[in-house]
Amino acid sequence: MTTSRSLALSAEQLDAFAAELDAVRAEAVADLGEQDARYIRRIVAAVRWTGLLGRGLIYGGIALPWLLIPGILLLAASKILDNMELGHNVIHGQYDFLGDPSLNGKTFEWDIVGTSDNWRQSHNVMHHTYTNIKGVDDDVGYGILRLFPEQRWKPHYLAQPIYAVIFALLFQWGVAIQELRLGLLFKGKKSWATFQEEFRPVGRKMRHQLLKDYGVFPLLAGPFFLTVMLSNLAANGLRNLWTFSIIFCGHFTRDAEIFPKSVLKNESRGHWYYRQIRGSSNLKGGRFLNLMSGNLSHQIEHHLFPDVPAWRYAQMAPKVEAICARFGVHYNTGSFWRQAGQVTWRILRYAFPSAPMTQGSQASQARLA
Amino acid sequence: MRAWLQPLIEAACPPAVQDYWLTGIHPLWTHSQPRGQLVARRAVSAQAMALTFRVNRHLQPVLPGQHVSLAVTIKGRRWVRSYSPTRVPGADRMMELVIQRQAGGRVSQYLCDEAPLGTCVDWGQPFGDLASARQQPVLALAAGSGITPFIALLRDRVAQAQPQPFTLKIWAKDSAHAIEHDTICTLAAASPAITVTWIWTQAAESERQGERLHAAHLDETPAGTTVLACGPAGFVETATSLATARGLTVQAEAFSAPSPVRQPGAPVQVTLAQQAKTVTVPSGVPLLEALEAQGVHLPHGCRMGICNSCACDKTSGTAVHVRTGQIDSEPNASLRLCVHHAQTDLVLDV
Repeated sequence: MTTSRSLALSAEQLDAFAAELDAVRAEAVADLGEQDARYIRRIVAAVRWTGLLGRGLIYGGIALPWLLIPGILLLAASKILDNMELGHNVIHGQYDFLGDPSLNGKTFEWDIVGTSDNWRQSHNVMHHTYTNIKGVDDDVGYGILRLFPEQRWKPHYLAQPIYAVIFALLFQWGVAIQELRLGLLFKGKKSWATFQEEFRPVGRKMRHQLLKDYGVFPLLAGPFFLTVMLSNLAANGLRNLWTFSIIFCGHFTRDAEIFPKSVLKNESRGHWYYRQIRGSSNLKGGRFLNLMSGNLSHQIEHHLFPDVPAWRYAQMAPKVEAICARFGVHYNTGSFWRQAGQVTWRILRYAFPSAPMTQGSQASQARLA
Repeated sequence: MRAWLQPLIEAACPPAVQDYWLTGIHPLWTHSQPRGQLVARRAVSAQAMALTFRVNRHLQPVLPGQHVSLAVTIKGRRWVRSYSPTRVPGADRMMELVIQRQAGGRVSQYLCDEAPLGTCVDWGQPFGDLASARQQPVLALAAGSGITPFIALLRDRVAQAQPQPFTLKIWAKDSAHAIEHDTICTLAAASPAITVTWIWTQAAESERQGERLHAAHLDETPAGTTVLACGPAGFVETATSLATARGLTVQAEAFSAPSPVRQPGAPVQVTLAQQAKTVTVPSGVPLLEALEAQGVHLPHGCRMGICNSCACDKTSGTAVHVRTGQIDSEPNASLRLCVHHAQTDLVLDV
């Protein structure tokens, strides 16, 4: 367990903190315009073309098997870009200001088994408002993993290194069912009829995706349908592994903190910003990592400004980092391998029981100056 | 065969993806979006241009006198305005719109002066009722760009050889500002049932100064004539009251003037279009709360402007961001109800 690496801030300091971060946001918002339009349209083109080329090369791979490798990688890249840089950001409403109905946060549908509507609720509302609040933010362990000592240990967590891997490979399915809250169904707190009603649109989306990748496209290859099916499976798997890794690196590195529900009472804007930073971590890498991670390499900036076009986070980061330094708030960043290593440590460490919680070791208590 | 094929095609290639590839081949080949391409432009008065668009098959038939909304992308952003075509699409799929330059008008300046030929615009489906008077005796009153629907109606009357009288009275500043003056005179000459009178409100030297719309302009209008009026809000209001006073049926379309700006605390009308309901709320209070106080509960999430759950379409009106003070007057704009308050009357698409 960790004591916080951030200083405790008084109410006045938090107000000043909020004002400075609001100014960074205002600067970005004032600059919104043609650049953003051009950028996101290039991303749409990238999703379309990598998808076309990937699928094309997979068909080519029926004749020349080595073509399957670039084919699968390009198709995976298409799905990754669609889910992360395009879908996740558009669904946040980052590009609503363009007025383009095909890029509207309320209507955009992404290439993944989960529905955009469920994501809007579980991610935009729950995860971003109640970030890292124990018992409210379901992204903390997704209901199956123990990642913080504050989560009560149970014997089944011993197997979590194994089911974490399975979860990673099937991540898109985990995300798809998140909002269905199966836990409530199993505990008898939700009726079967309600569940069926909620499942209807999810089932439709799942069928749509399965039909696409494991029905129509394979059948177009006639007798060679198995090659296409397995290649599409591999591409989906690669997307799952990558999105899982990036998302976990964003909130479960060694110094990331979770918070009790009590912090929500009359939470000031400054404290909301403060909590977002303490619960998030960045990845240091170049522009390619920024692109392929949907700019979640800047998870901190994303959590501070989820409705600002994500490509701007790289420009905003130095200002945010400087403000954090001045206020004594820890700015968590590191290379992909370092952060991923810390996440792996968390999964392994908290599979085992941790020492009982004491007052001094609660993660919500900050180190004093 | 189509019934089972369609879902398979859409599974492999959703409409958005089809749109991407098809419009890459030809800009008008959309999946279902009505779209037009600018093919010609000419001046029709000192301030107005006529733009000719080739329209694709997804635009439903436009009746003369109706309006269509036009969405154009300028510097990456989409702006929506409504126009009444002066020529509706026929077998040649050509539609003509007359656009008057507004001072400081972003879209009118762009369409009149900057948009290159080949620019594509998206249409909304046609709406409006002026065409219902196609077969009736009509007194048409037009001011400024309000003449546009009547030009289409004139064409229709001439083409149908409609015997019922059509009396058109047009108010314009002077002959230089008279939109499609020659075209209108030619159309009027083509049919004995059509009479056109021009009235100059700021007549040039050689012209006769006319008077603004008043009761005498409706003298000698036979009973049973339908009065059609189109122009600025004030003109249309006058026309409506004059016609009603004489017991004449009137159909009017106003080019809406912006509603007055209210002081914080003053009541504003918020119209909820889908619920066909209008609620009075105080200006200055965040809309989400203000509407809830009136018993209207809308979807929301974080209530702090972050999660986008309360975002809805503001069809018209001016809203102000509660924190930044940023003003949004744009029609058909996405609005987050929890962090905006109303400055004028609003229409929301909820």
